[in-house]
Amino acid sequence: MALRSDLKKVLVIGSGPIVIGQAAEFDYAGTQACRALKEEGLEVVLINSNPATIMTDKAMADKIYIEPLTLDVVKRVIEMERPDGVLSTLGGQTGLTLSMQLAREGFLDKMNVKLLGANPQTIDKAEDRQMFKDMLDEIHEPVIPSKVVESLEDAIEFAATMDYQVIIRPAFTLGGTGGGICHNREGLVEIARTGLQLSPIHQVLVERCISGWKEIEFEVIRDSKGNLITVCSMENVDPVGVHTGDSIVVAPAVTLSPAEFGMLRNAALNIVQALGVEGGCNVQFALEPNSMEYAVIEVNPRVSRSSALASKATGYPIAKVASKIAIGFTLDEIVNAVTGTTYACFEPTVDYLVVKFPKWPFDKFVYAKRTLGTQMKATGEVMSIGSSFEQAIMKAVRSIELGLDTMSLPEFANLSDREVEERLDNCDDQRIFMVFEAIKRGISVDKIFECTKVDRWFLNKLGNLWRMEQTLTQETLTPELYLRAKKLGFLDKTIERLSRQKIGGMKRYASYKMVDTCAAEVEAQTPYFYSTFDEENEAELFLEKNNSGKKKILVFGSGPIRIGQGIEFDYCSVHCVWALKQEGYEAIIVNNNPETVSTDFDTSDRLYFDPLTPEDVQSVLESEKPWGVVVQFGGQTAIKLTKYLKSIGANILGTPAESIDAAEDRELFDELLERCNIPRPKGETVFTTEEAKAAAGRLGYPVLLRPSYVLGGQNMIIAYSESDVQEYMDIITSHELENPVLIDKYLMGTEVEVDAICDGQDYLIPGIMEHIERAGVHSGDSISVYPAQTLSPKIRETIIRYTGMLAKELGVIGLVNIQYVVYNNEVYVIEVNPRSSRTVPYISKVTNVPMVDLATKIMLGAKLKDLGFGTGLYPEGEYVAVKVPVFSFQKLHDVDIHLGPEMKSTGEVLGIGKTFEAALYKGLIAAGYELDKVGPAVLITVKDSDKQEIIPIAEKFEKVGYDIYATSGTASVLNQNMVAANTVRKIEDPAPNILDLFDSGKVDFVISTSETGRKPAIHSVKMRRKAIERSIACLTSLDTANALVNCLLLDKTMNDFELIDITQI
Amino acid sequence: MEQAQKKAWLLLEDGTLLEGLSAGAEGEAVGEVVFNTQVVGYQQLLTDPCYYGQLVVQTFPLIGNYGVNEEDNASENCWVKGYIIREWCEQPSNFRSKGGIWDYLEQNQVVGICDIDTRALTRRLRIHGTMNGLITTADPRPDMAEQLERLKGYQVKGAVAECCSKEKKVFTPETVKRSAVLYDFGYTKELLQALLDRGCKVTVVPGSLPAAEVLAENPDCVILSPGGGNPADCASLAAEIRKLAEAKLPVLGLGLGHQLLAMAHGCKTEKMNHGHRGSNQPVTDLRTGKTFITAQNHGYAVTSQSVDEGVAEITHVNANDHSCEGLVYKDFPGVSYQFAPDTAEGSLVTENLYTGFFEMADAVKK
Repeated sequence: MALRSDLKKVLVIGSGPIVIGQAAEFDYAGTQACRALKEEGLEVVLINSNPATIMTDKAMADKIYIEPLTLDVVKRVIEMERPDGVLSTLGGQTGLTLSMQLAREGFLDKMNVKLLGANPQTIDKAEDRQMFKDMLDEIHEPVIPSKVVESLEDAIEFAATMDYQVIIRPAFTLGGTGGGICHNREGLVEIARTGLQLSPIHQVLVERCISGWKEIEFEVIRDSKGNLITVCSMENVDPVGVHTGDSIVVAPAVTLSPAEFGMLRNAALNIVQALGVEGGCNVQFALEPNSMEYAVIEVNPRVSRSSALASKATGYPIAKVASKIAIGFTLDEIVNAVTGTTYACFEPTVDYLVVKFPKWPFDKFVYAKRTLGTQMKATGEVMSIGSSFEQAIMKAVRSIELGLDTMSLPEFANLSDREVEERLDNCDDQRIFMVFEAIKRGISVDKIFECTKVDRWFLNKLGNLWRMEQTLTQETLTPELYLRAKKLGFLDKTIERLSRQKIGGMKRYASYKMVDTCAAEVEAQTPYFYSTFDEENEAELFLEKNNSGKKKILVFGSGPIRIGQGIEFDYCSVHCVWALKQEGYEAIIVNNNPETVSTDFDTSDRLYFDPLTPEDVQSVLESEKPWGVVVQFGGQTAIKLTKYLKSIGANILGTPAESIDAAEDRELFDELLERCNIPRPKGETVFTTEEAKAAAGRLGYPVLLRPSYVLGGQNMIIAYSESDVQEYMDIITSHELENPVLIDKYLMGTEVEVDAICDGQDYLIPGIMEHIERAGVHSGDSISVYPAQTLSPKIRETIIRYTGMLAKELGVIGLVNIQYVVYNNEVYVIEVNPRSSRTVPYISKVTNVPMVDLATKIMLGAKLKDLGFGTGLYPEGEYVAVKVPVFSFQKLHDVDIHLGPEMKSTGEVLGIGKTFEAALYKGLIAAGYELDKVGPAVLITVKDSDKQEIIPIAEKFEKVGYDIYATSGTASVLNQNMVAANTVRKIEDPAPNILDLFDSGKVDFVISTSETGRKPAIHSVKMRRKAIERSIACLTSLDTANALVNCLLLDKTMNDFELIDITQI
Repeated sequence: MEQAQKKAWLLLEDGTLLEGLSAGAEGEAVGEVVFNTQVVGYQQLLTDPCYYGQLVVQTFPLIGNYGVNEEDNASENCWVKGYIIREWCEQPSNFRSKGGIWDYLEQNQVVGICDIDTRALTRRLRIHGTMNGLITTADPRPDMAEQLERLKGYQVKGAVAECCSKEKKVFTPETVKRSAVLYDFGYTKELLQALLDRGCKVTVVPGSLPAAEVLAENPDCVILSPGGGNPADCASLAAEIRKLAEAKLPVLGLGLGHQLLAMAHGCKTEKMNHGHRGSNQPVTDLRTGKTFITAQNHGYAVTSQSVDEGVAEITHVNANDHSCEGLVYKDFPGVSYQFAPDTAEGSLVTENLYTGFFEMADAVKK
């Protein structure tokens, strides 16, 4: 059929900011989509509010709008650009929902725009619970007994017939937000109420609980001709009950015999056929483990997290194929890019096993409820490929960066056997480790199965790992035993530790096998490798055969997406690869994250999908023998490899290892600052609680506490009193304290951030950013403004001067990120990171300085003065850009949403405008704040030290037309200062109190600040949680509140602001 | 892996010697080494007559995960001579499982070898083509030259005679819509079931039965079953099949049956480099332009150029290598397919292949 002749220009809708449940996988999908469309000569218009993505890069589309993803904005883009079609299925639920709204309203027809990738009937049938059920009934596919309800009463009535063993699924919410399993009437009432509230159509599905059944997924693709294939089957190690995004998943399914496999595959094909999907579709089944009974759980008629995983697991690029189908191609016309000789109309097969392991934020959110259920909590994931399950899971577990190299979680060693047995019932993020602990304690596989319903196949494989651990501790290490251990995924250091014997001459490096979609049946063109332990090394064979004569450079990726290390580092890694290729080098990526663009098989010249630990990396080096390696774009994950790479003599390009060390080592860094005569807040280094208290006393409260070697402000707090220090040290010393704790005087000034490029002599600062929130709120959680709006010329000059001095003195070759605090007209340095940073993508996009590109060239020897962007501070453009953080608090129960020095946001959006006001307004809208509906009420409850400062802010809210409610202390201050405030009782007081006010639906915003504590039991923490659960915007910094109310005062709507195509700035 | 496993070796005709561990029966097996890329279905594979005389490499590394049972046998025997895998599963897990793969191989005297780099082996077979091999638990190194000589001389012979039924058997479904003779060259239970499910009263007859006796049954249609071995060795069978076509009897040829029917009409067959063995082979129906996924297990194909347009039309081709996958005949109601439309996996897309044939057969009947 080929390309539809009625298409010349296509609008692609992206998925917006990274939130739990909708993450980097949609950058991967969107990027593939844009490339697929451009390949066919189409003009691509893109809208996405997320500036950290590769898809919003100028190379990806012809016109790019980094604008809020609201219906009105998308309509305006369509009116301006007049595309012929809208691609709806590549931008996650966000993109799909927007497209459907446009279609249903008749807007697309009116504008003569074709809806590509989906039709509303298909989407309704898949997403509307009742229609979905009816459709399945029609084709005789079984569903779980259930009822769609729109009221709490109906929910209770139906649940009673199921003995309250039911699960609640709200309609049209992201990643199952607001859903959950209930076991009694009380639980049902709570969950159903939240679900009804969160569903945009106030509808939930109450269904029979089938937790414990096997969860099996299929990725299916269908084209307009009706060609129909399955790309991949996947089996969740965690049975039904745990969201698939929170499950450990293997591909292909391993415990199904052909009878069940064929039955489910057929069912998947049947469903996709009946839906009439044209593109990719994910089908999830529950399979009763002891019979052929099954039920369809869910169907996603779009690309998804699972399709990204399936793509990486098989080498079959689902998003690309789905995009081509959307613009008219059929599967038999799309070439299989992996083989180059066959077509996309076949089913991939694999000759390895893939394991996906989620990355949860609980190491950061120590008080978060760790229980897993139907609501996804993971922020990211890793994938590993192995010749066996044991090998793959061992790789996965060392890739998730919890400091593990086996399935043993050290903290479980102290539990009694009984505790272990009891805790098997806890379905949380650590369950797989508890299962392993149970195996170690000799608890039987049957008993573990009874508790967890994790299939015995997996349990027995874990048993093999434990047996190997025992063998290693008991037997003499022979080459045979060593090789057996290697094949099961053990690292050398683990083998030596367990056996207390040296490996010495037995040492073997990993060999590499190719991921080729076809289990070697057809020769593959794309070098996508994973490690195993075999004689034949395909990577070596490939290199012999394809010697380009170019110098080879290895780029280390950033591993799983987590709070503090997100998609921005993938953006940097990918850009580095592009720059290296352009400069005539062969660029090779090592990474383990299946959601990203960097692990797309055609991003780099070669891809190694493997863990990023020293030993894993060493094998790649041994096989590739690269000329150089790059660590500065892969976040802390890659930086952590520096020491090791230096020790083996690898050629680290750019900033040398010593400099990286100097920036992270407190003493070295202090010496350096002294040499440069640059001030920093006073601080000390401590190891014990007593030392910490004493130091804090000397420095004077408030103080900032954090471990050295931090990532995203992990475990960082501001302590206002000795009890805060105590609470913090209790947590931090509960883990092994390898590195000291840093304790600094906390200066509550203006935070300024600079990214710079340095070549050893000159430096270039693309832009200076200023944070709206005062220092103390983590830079990743602050609203960041480029260019800085309030700095005096003198301060600005100081910052430029310090940046140049620091970069040069540190020996930075490439990128450096420096954070300053301006306090009493004095500039202090807070932190220097000689690597890429979170802000690089957005600053590159708004300043047009290709930062990673320049840094890469400089690492290869180029000089700034020859690169055409000048030196010093780059001239400011005519646009202001405001980066606004986005949080996923609704997904994380019991986490205090109060902003602080520990980063909490999962993603970000950007507002771009001619003025600061315009940019801020757009940024807030894009982040989900509702600025165009006024009132009726705002609730204010602030700590004593904020009470004076809140008065003018409250006054502004009053002026906009808001009714002000406040708790007694705050209210009396406001009333005394002529701002009329209604007093509302605190959450701990008898009703009616704040909760009733929340339930009344009057409150639009809550402004809440409190002195201390993150514990969920604290009333202020609880109150903020309740606000979040009711989708009420909650502001915990007066600066944010002030910025927001200033926007409200503008009395404008989004329509008053011009939409900006960033390719034109 | 607990038990100390015996060593085993795989020697290929080109001199490649791989060392692994014994799995299943000990001893030795000489055969044609072929690889199969499917992920599930090892038990059906082991019992499929198409693999007669062959040593099968499984590209999927983990074999035996869901155990074995009685229902999943494709026929009465294991026809695979030797089995080459990476890892076997000691503790299978599936509610249908009645035992493990090791015991199954041992009981059925299939000589197996595991701990082999099956991907490296598969690549060798893809690059150099199918070749003969020897699996043995006795070190072959002392008399390599002799062994290699032996391998060079090996040919798969007598597959049909070995695998097919020795006598006539009749199977009657609940509702009979028509009668069919299943000419048995090595049929599988699934094929028989597929025919029964579609209302055929099936008379299974040995592949060696003269056509006259089949005609004497006066069936409404004849199904030529798949089977193993080189079709060129079965010229006499093709000659008999020719008589069925001359009698204008509706004939459905599958696998080897498809090849023999083609040979009966003057077509040639050829040995493929490494064949099609797996559950993911795309087949395009040239008349509708639609492609669907099929399970296949063949090493020979009908040579497309040898198909006389006046006699038959190529209706189906493999979407990857464009080899002949289906024919429809012009002078009698005959159709044939290289692949097996009878697997449960493919039923959604291949149902119409049966329906089409039976409609044609029923029309002739009227």
